[in-house]
Amino acid sequence: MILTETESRELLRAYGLGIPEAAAAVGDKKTRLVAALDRDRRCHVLQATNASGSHLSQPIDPFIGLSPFVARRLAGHLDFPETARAAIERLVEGLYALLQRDGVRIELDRLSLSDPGEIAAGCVHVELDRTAAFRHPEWKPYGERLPGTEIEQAFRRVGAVAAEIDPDGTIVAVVSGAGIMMTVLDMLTAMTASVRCIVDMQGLPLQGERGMRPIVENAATMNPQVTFIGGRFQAPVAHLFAETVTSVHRSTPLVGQVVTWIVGNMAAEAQALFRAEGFTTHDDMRAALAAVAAAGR
Amino acid sequence: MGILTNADTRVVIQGMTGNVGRSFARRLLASNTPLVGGVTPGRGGQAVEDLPVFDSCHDAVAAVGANTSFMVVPAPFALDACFEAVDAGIRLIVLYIENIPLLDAMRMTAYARAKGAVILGPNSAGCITVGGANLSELDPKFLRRGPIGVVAKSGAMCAESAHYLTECGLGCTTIVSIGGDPVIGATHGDVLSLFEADAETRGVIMVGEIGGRSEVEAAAVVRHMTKPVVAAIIGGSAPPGRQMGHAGAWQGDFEESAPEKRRLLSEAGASIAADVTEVGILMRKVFKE
Repeated sequence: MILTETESRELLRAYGLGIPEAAAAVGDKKTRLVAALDRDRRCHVLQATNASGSHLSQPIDPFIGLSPFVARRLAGHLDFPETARAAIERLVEGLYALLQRDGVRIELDRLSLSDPGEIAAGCVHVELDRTAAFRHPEWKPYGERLPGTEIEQAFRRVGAVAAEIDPDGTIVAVVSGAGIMMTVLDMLTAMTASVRCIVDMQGLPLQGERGMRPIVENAATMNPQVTFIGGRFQAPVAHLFAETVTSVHRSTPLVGQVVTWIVGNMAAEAQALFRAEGFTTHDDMRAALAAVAAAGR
Repeated sequence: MGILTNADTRVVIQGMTGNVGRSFARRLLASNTPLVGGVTPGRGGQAVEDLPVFDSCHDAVAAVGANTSFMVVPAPFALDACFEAVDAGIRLIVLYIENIPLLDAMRMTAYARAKGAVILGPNSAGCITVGGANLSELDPKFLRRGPIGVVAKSGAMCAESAHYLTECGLGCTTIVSIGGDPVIGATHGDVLSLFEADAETRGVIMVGEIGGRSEVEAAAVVRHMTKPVVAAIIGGSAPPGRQMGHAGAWQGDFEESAPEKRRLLSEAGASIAADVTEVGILMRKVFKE
């Protein structure tokens, strides 16, 4: 979760890292400190950039943690007087401490030295790990604000993940699985189809009507020309999924032509239920998506 | 027989007394997986599906020789459960769980690597050696034994790859989902290296996606492989900065984009499929050539 400038400064203050705002005159300087979790190296990284734009990047071994020499190296890389070194080292230690409290990325830009000798920053950005919110009650105000467009937020509130592609698109695709979500969007895009929104249902089909109703309701609000439902079921639940969707559809109708691609365990039973409801069914994903693209034109 | 599991594999489910754990116990037993018990702290002495539940991994290792864990504990307890498993000597851990904090994922993967254990995930659909142990959500009845290894972040892409291989008359040795979270244990490159060393695997399907550098680093492995690799990179049409289902599937730097990953893998010698529906056709074509 990405905090605003004001929230970032407030959080740092709450964690004992009050950072005054830098004067506007030093705003063009590149001097910055960044503390981040590097997903690919699976470690934290601290980076200092001096006024000439030269970077010093220090990966931190998870077993060792931040050694004082690393803080000294980073502080020494910045163009500050010797008298400010200790303050910068403390700042580096504070940023690392925030990473240990589930910070994902903290950026302090346009660093300067204020009159009383404090380190000031023209710009502060903090990103926190949303999945760690359960152990940080102090983050509650930030967790309630969801990223994305209005429709993406609506899906996220009910536990699904959506990507709104084109507000003028005619196709809403509701699928099971992140990989299918990306593949379906790629294939529809290659077919020059007009996609409004694509949704990964996540684990919601397992919750029956309680899980599926808000997905169907949200999909219907977009008033699509075509609604696509797709997934490959490994557990023997495809027919239960189809029962749920058709049951919800009777009270909250899916909008436009409904095209389905349901395969895997109990798929024949699921397809029969969908056909009985007037939905088009397909065994082959490419054929299903070609039908969706054609109907969406 | 395959990679990651073999005739000596003895599996415990960490979190077996919960609903998900019980469900997986039934599914793994139904596919003849050598499941020897479960671990739930405070539930030692109980049984699930007639298998013993232990208080700790140390107990499970001592009593039934467990060496592999399928983990379904709630995310807040995953870090400690993983540390315990590695400390007890478990050498393969499938983290089926999602929503594990990044800091915890970083710590558990670092510890596992230091101790020589392999972690699949977090957010992994697991791995299955076709005709052997099933540590995954995949149903073996839809799979066919053959000479191709499959590695993907997504469980759905593992299933799709296997389906399109079967349609082309090919089958799989082992199918591995490495997980869709931003910080994961084994990478595409790690699994490609295992397939390269596996006598029964003659080619590999690799499905990557936008975000992260696993596929970029895999290109360096592909360059030195003697076996053909067919790769598909999904998510190329995702709007910039937008998360596509997986927590790790959003494009940051240009190097994390689909076109750049395709270019790097192609330069390294992989055949690039336009999408996952083409992987079987392309692998068949590569074999004919």
